[in-house]
Amino acid sequence: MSAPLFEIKDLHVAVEGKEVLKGVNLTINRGEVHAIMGRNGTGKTTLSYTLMGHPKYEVLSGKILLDGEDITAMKPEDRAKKRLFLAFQYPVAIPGVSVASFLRASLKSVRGAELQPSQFRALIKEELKHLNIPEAFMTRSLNEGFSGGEKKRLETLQLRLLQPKMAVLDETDSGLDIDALRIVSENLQTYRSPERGMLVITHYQRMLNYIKPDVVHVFGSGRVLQSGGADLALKLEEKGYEWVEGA
Amino acid sequence: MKEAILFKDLNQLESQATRVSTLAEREERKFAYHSVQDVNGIHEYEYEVSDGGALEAVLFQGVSLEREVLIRIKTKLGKNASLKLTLIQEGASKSHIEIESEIKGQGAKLEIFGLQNAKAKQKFLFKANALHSVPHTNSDLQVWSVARDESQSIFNGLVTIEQTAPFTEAFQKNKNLILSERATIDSFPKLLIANDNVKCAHGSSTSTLEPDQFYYLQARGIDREQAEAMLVKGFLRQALSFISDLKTKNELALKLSIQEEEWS
Repeated sequence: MSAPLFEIKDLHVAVEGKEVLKGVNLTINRGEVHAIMGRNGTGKTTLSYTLMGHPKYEVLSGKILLDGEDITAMKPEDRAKKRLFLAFQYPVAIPGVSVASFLRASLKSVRGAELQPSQFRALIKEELKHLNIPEAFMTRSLNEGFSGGEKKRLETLQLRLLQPKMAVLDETDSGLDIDALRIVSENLQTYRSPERGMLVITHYQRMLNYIKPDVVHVFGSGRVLQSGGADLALKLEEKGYEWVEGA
Repeated sequence: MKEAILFKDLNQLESQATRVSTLAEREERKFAYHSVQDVNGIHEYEYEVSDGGALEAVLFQGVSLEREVLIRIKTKLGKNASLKLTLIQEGASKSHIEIESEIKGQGAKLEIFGLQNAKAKQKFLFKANALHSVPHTNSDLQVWSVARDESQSIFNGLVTIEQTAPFTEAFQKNKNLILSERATIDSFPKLLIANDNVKCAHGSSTSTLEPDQFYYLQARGIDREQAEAMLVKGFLRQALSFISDLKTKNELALKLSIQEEEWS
């Protein structure tokens, strides 16, 4: 039997000497979408940054496995090449680097794709259409002066372009208006496949209306407090986090 | 002072290598581009703008790495004249840019943008003196530096506002990117103000590359070395955005090896 697609085993993580994650366990099989819901400050973003290898987050103990391979100590760029993807909650602006040249460099590193300029343009244009992003964005500096919604669309475009087998989405629904939420969610939903996995980190049920999760986890105090089916998200929306935290 | 030690021999350079004068006449709009001649010595440039005229000039110093050059710049601005200068240092082992500006025409506006792109053991000095002596004049001085390897860059700016120059606006900013532990950057932005009725600001920042920018690029599969190259190019490209002439901008991007991915 092959290993699960993605596993987090008893993960303890400290930020600037303070332990934030206190024993996270999670197993995502191929084809599954899991959601993590929880209040602000419970360690959700720490988890997403740690999964992608941010140097500021120190793994005290535990393991992260992708396709059975231990990636806990890997550099972020090597994780990306193994086809792990993080959609950032706050994508950073990089002045002077155009979206087009960034996408080309990233595509080349992750997929090893040395595309002709015409092939590259055709590929990007197709994705721009899906996400309703004007082509003029390609010559703008990466994320500089972009609205929240524009940044999240661009994150989604990158996900579709880099074709990860495991994607972590950190509050991809925040900062989106209703139309943008629909467009982004639909694009994520069509990316789902029996081979791929997704971990959706969110505060709200609304994105989960489009991307129906197989498993929902409630996060609190740096670990998973409770897990259940898609109906758990609805219950949370109705009863609030206290209902789980108090249990 | 450090610059006196570093650039001592430059002041002893006697050979007069270049003398270039550029004039924008009354009410004229003009653009000029000069590239410093590839010889040791003193290169003198004079930029003059008559009443109501506007001149934008770009000067590029990309001489061979063994050269030593002293670039002296003088400016003259008439009433309501505007002068926008972009000065880029890239070549030479020692290069010293020295600007003397006397802003004597009411309503005149002077903008100077300097870029120092230093590597290896290069030593760069950017020295700018601006003197406001009549009312209602403007100056905006910005110098950006990149310091790699064992290079040394100095910015020394002095804006003087005389008692006779109320309603003057003068800004001075120095922004530096330091990429090696052995590189040094010194920054001396100074203001001398003799009239209270003016608007002035000055500042200086020196930093390394942002860890979060690195992390973002790395998370997209780009290794540290390539990420650093991309970020530095981004910094330099931003500097070129001060130039309004597209052809010159592209030509300089080519010279600095920072051309962008084409998208059309």
